[in-house]
Amino acid sequence: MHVNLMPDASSEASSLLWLNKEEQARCRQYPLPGPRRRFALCRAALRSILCHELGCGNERLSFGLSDYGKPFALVDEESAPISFNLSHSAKHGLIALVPHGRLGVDVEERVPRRDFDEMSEAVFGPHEQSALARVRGRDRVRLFFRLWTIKEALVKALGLGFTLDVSQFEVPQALHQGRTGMFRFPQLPEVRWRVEYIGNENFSAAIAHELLPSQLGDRSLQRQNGNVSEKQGVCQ
Amino acid sequence: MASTEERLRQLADENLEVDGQPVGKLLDLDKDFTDLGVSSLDAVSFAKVLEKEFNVSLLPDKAGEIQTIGDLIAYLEANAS
Repeated sequence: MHVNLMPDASSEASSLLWLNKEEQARCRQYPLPGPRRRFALCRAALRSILCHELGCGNERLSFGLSDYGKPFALVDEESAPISFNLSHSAKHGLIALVPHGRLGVDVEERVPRRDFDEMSEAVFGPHEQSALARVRGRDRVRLFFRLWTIKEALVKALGLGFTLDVSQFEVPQALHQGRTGMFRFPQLPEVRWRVEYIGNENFSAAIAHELLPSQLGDRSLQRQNGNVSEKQGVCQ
Repeated sequence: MASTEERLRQLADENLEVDGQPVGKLLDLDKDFTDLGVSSLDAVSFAKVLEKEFNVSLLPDKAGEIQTIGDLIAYLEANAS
């Protein structure tokens, strides 16, 4: 679900009505209007969609935080049977949700950076750096943000924050251009993740979703997504 | 000589922006950078700047321990060389 985060006083006022007292207080604590608006609009959209999916009233919905700061949904203070994740960048917010399995999403507007080279060395592995060195200009910017959003979606899905060294795993080659692929963290090879790149002309974005054992046996997933290639996508 | 907090604010002004606005003066020692609206990409980039400036290791080793900007200043003061 895409959330339009363009400044709009009416939308912002409406969104505040969805937030509980703690969220409204948090909103007021943002010193800058942009982050305040993005938080309010995204949290209101998240509440709306979760209430719809869980069949509950807004007043019954609250959020908890994992040890690493990843939020999860509570209904009547009990953990809700849904997995979600949210990301925003400038004018764009994205919310993803699934019934089961860990989930991560990331969106970034492609703003050229003066520290591309330093950042590439810091956050990408050798194959990723080589791929970036082979392209120039606009293509380089697009590949940088494609690789970064995929990495961050995976990090968010795993839920350990940046205690994980992002340069120690690499985005599979299949995902340098393709839309979908499978992935395993070298540190956690028993868990497989389905990755989808959903960027467009306006932004880079990716979703990573943990495949549970029941889904691994479901060959229909691959039939439905013809370009999903387990063999090509796996990062060993 | 500038204090660690003053150096951090100056480096934040030089290296971090939210919606085009420098954030050094906005740093709250009881909060973290995401409370200002700093993106994770910018936060990682800024961590690399601090590692060079203070000659310390921040990512990924200390990412879980440093919860606030106050924690960060304390860590930099204890470990900078």
